[in-house]
Amino acid sequence: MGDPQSVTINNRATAQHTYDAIIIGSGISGGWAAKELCEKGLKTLLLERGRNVEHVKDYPTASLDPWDFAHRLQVSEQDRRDNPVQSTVYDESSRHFFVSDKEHPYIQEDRFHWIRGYQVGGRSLVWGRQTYRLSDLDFEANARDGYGVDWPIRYKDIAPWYDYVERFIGVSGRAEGIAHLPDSVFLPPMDMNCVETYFAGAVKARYTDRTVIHGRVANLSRGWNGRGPCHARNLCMRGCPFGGYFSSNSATLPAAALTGHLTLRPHSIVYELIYDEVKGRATGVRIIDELTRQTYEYYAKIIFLNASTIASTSILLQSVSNRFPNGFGNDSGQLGHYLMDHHISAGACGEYEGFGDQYYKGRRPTGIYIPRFRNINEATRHPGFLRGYGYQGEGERRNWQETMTVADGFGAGFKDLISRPGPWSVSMGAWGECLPVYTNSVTPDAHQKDKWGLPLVRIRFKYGPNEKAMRGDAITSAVEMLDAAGFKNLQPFDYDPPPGSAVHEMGTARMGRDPKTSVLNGHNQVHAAPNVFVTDGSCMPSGGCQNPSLTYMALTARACDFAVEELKKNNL
Amino acid sequence: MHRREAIYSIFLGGGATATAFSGYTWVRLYRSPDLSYLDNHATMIDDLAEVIIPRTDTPGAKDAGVGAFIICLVKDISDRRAQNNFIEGLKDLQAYTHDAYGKSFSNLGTATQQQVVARLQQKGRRGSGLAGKIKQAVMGKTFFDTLRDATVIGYCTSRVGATRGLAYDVMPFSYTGSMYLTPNQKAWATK
Repeated sequence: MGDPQSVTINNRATAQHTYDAIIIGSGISGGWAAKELCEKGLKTLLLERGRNVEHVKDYPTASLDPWDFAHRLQVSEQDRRDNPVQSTVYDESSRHFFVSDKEHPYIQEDRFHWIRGYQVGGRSLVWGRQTYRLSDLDFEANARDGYGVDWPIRYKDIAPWYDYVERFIGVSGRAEGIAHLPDSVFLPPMDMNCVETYFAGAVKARYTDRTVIHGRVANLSRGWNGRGPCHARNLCMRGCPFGGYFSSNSATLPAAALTGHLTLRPHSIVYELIYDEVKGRATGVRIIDELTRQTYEYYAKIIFLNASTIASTSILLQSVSNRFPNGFGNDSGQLGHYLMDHHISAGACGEYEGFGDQYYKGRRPTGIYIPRFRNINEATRHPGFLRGYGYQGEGERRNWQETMTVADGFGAGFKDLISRPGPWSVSMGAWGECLPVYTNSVTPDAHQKDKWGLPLVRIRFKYGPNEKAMRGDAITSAVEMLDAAGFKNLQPFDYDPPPGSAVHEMGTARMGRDPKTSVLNGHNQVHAAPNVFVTDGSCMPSGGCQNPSLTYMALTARACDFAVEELKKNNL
Repeated sequence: MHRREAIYSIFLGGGATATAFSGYTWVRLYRSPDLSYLDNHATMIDDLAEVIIPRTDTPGAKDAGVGAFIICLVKDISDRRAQNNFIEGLKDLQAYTHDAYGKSFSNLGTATQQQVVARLQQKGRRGSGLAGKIKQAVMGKTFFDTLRDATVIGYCTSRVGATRGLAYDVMPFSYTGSMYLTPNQKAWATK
């Protein structure tokens, strides 16, 4: 990966600030844009607002044991006070990959957790790695029920790009032939344990519409493309010294750097796109150096915006010109609207009496998955809500963390209890689709600024009756399935975390067929400025219920291919 | 504001906690705690932890240096109320053993120490269900619950506790979903 120190900054010489392509953001989609554009021969400038993080070298906690941490991985009171949002997802071993809430404030008009990682690699270092394709059930969803605008693409348009991306990143899983959750190109799945295998069998015996499958995950069950394999430590959020999971840092950025075409500039906060009214296109970007606060301009033929959903849309909204008084490419007035997340943490758990003589070895960085089974077709239509949810879950034997909370006592007997594997249990929580709703939105605040003088983002977000009804069904159905499979001590749960907690922000610069009702076209081009491509989560017209990163990567690779073809044809 | 409403508002994350209690209770829970009290009673904390997790055929809390972690946890991890409950608990305990036995906790025999901790548990375990949750939400974590949780965390995440009290697999290499337990097999220390 390029050394940031080697990036020459020369404010006077335009030539040295001119590239074929500029990419804004180095996270999971920006990393793909860098790899694709560099491999296609474009001189590419990759701008990242945070510090550099080099693979392996900058993973300081990756090989530490629990006793190496002063607080033994507990989140401190000071963390909870200073970082009330980010500290809900980090611990002592990963806090350095998350922003400081104090330094990077935003306005929660409604409660919304905006989890961010400002560094090279972004949140690809700390993502959940669950990897699922969307299908036409998802691409046709808006057209079917009228919420949001129709996707301008269908599964056949993106399927080859799913293949292409999966062949590079490596996805562990098993082919199941489920039409609405298409199979990926798979490495071998990571084992189910005995209680999961039992549960899968029991569900199969009792339900025709539900299947328990291996969690599909971008962790490598065997060595792949010079990375991995996963060593089953389950310490992914610290960065993996074995490259056992996919991240920009471990995979796409090294591939981009290898071409010799990549220039990486960390500490570069893009605050606006430069629009040329005569040419009718964007000519470059303006940045503030995070450290020196000096401003610079960079120029390119094409610009890929991959700063993450809320940040990309904020940059567009901040880029005001005569042509775009309401934000770059915002002729439709839709920019900033239809923010989505997935709603999570509604489900159930139960204990299983049996398998007392069995255990497992290793720490698997994934679990089981139950694909969506509501509103797939007429037979599975649910009267209470549209769309659906999938469950992520896992089976395990209770260990000291849980025993501590459920068992009374102290002394030798208690010590023995926490030292032994406890009863088996299965826990499953829904990941549900949120309808695209106009009022769920992001806007730059007119008055409040951050320390770089840029407007704070104001977020409005509320679940509607559809999400609430879906959560109720997810709880009921989880209890039913566990009960039917013979689990005991069933415990429904509904933690109802603030929206944003899934860290699946989507929408706000949606794709669509009609420039009057959407921001991007079917190739992720800004309708009104075709040399600007937006290929992160902001482009999503609907959210599905699947973990979305794979789709961002596939859309990015597809858009890069299209952009280079268009450049060759002199269309851009 | 009625007491019930006040308690309810705490559940909703409301900031009206000050009116939920008598002035004395509020001060007791929210005053700035004298954290140096912990360092000055490190031996007593060590001895309490050893009663929670004693040395058996495997090392105990003292072997694992749990006392120092309890002090660290109360200082850095616990909220203000739990800190005050903990320090108050140590003081009450001291007074109790002097009144009942004429000795400090550390100078009691093992059996008596166990009786004293059993009494603490009876008084201070949160209790299950909604009532327990409400009590903890309003009053903060009790002395006994903080003591026991911190002891368990401190022990299970220590080198000695993780590798000898439990089983620690630093480099599993791969995941094996099902295998038979071996005789006397310990639980994994980490997930």
